[in-house]
Amino acid sequence: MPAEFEKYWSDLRKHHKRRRHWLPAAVALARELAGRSGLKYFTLCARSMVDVFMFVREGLLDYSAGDQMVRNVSFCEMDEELFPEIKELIGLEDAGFPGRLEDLALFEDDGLTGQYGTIDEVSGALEDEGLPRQSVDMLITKRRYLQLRGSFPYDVINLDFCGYYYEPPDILRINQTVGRFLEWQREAAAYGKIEEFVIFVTCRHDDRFPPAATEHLKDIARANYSGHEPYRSYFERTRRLGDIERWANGDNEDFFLSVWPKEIARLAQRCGWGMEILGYPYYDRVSDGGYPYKIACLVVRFRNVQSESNYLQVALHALNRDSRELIREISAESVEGRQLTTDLAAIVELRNRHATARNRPILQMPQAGG
Amino acid sequence: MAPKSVAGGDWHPIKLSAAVFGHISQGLYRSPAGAIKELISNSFDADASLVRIHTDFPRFERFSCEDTGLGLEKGEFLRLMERGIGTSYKRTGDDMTTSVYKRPIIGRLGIGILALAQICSEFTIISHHRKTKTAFRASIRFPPYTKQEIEKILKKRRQSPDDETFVQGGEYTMEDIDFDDEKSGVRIFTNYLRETFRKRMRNLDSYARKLHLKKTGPYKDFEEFLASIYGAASGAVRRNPSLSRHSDYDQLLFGLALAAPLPYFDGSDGNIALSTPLLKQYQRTVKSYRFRVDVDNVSLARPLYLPSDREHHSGADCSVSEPIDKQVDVVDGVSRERVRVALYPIKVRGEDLQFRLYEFRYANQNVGGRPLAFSGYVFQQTGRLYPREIQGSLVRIRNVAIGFYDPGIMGYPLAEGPRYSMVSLELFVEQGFEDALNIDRDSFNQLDGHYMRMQNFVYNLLHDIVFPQTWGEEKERNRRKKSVKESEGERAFLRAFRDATKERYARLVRSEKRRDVRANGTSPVRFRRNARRIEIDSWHPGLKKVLSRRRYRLLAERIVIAFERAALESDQSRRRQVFYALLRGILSRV
Repeated sequence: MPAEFEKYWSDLRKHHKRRRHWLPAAVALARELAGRSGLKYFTLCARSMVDVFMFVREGLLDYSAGDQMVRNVSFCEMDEELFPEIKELIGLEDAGFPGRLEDLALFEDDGLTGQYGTIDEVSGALEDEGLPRQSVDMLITKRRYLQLRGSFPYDVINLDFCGYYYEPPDILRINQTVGRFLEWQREAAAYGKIEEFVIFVTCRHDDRFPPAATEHLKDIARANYSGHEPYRSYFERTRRLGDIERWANGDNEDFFLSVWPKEIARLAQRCGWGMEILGYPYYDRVSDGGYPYKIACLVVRFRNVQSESNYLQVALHALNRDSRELIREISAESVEGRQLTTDLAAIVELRNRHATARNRPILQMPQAGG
Repeated sequence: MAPKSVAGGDWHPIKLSAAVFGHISQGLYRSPAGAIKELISNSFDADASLVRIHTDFPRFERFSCEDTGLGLEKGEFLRLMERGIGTSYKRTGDDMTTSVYKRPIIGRLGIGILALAQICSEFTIISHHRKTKTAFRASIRFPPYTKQEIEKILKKRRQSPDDETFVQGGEYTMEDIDFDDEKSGVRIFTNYLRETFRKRMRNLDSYARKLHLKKTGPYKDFEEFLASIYGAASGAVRRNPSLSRHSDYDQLLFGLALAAPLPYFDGSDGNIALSTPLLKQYQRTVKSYRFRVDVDNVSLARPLYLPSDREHHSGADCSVSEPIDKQVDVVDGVSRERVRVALYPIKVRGEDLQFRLYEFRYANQNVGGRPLAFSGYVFQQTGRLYPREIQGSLVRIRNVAIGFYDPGIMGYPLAEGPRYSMVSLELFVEQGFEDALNIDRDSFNQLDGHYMRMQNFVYNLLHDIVFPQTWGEEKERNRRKKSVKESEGERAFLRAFRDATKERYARLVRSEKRRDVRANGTSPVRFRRNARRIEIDSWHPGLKKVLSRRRYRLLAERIVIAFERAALESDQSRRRQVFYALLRGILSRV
């Protein structure tokens, strides 16, 4: 994660998103899974790990204070220096997957790796020390891919991406990654290992949104517009526009926020998951270079449904501006600000206790206003 | 700021001394712990207060080692790469110490970095150097050599062994990065662990599975790890005779804990070795270095926990008496020396066991023209030490263990039977010995004068003082053990006798008094109910051969008694019933 993003862990709007959207979704799921020792959680938690320790504090994860181990948590981290630090704070050596999530999840076999289907087979192939470097890299990535795949299913998947959902040059890679995850969850569901789960997907939007991504979303919107009468009529009624092109060019933010969830709904439909948007918060942020952008987060619940897809309901839900929550600036002195700060401070204290025990840098305690 | 390339972003050859190459190609270190120990030593020399090692347990696909030391300077790194690893001397004198914690500097040849070649084929090193406020990031590759290439280089080396020749030991690339004071130190990461290492750590081979290796980590802390090695103090976990019953991961942890310059583990049960002045002082000194090594979140300590016998006696059960002065004569050619040894008798509460701890200090300004000084201790307990890996002798140079415990105690020339397994000694070299060390820093040149003098001292100490003390005690202990076993066996037999026949006897008596009997006509057993004893005539001609083997004599006597008692029954089925019942009683104690 770029350094710029590391400083936002204490942003009260971000914590509002965690507290008021992530947490209730996870709590509701945990209640339904009552009897289990904790949720199985996948995260891109980065160094702050606020989400992990928030769930620990709320008793949602299998945690023992004595040995400071948080069980059933997996993370993916591409920064090799941060990787061991996050692992230490979780307390388990095999909690992490090193590398870029998309590269692991979207691994494709070549002629060599295709010959080996299991982790043991790949390891056997790697015993040949005369293999070219490229082949070694491919085999190592394949092994990690198999491990990541084997770690599924998860109850809660938190994909807190810091960039665009449609990141150039290959704008569909993140979307394909989400698709892979839904497929792997489906595979597990086939064996009765999971019935429902939640995913949080966070990404960025601004007026430098990749044009190719806009074109891609326009295609989705057009298909809905022409293929679904309820969608068309609702769109025309609420946007007072007759075509998608003008919408995308005139109000790209609304266009993105309305259409992007349908991308995930399409993936869900393909995998046979019923999708329900539990929350859709978004808020403003300004980059170090003074450039404004939006952070949007979809909190989605998936259920194993054999019945007809609810794709259209999701599309309409996303189109409804009232279903989103714009998180405005939260003053540290306000009641909400104080509550969030106090909560965040307690989480950070727990996180810092782990960091202190491991001699790792601690996070500065957030200060309550007033 | 984007990092800028120093080495042009291209791969450059690493120059390696052919001598070092020879060792590396043949596997420089005997164990993974031996290789990783070198990284720890580097961190110790760099005044790091903490070294963190991650093994990616239980997958073992990634390895990282980070320290909080002063960092490796870019120039030094480049010198190592370009002037030939294996020729750089970090330390020139005996009294060189680090600047912050005043630690005695361990490193010498600058080959620590190469130690990783044993476990991986490529790694990344990131260093933030506190003094120059510079930082770099480099990648190092060790390509596999073919057998022919290795042979060719080694042949050349054999032909001209004195030439300082160099070979390409791999390649590297390097770039400058921004210095960050908070990241001061060296970080090493690798994703390219050798599969052989990984496989071994995972114990995937069927051989290991067949052995039913003990379940291994993750460990909450070092105490939990030690409990798995030494068995729980309560005795609930049986002591393993050897670490070979443990996984390679456990052996790695144990090896690193043993090798690293760390204080002894001083748990709640107490380590009796730490109650003598020399070891107390030693422990204080090592603690003053403020050095910590964490492996997979477990902070290591020296894994010696004495006593460690089958009966689970702990330090808390022992009390150390006042020292007794002893002297060892060290005769080495024309040199004759008398060295003072302090013997601390150790009593075990509630038991008549006698453990001992011997402390000594040896110093001579001229051993082969160079000064030699070392101190140490011998711990001797009655009964074997658990696990086997702490039996024997261990030499430490600058607090770092050289190899593992040597159960043959430096080639001790006499047969001493099980007494080898009852001693654990450590020798701390204070001065000299550098030339005795082989390039792997894991073994010794046994023809070195300093090594031979130490060997001589150890032989004399063991032969003249330590082992003779144990002879008498062993005999007495064995006699007592036998007697206890016999009386327990007798009681069990008499209980079985009572249950089977409803007759109560208090004793079995062996009668030596001869009577006039015909060989097989008279029973050799008399059941004297009034006197409550059973007498057996051991001289009876019919029993001569039956009782001839001493080892089985007791057993044979009881079977004879059982037979004779059963024979008194009039009914055949009752005879069988009584005999079988008595036989069961006998066999239950065999």
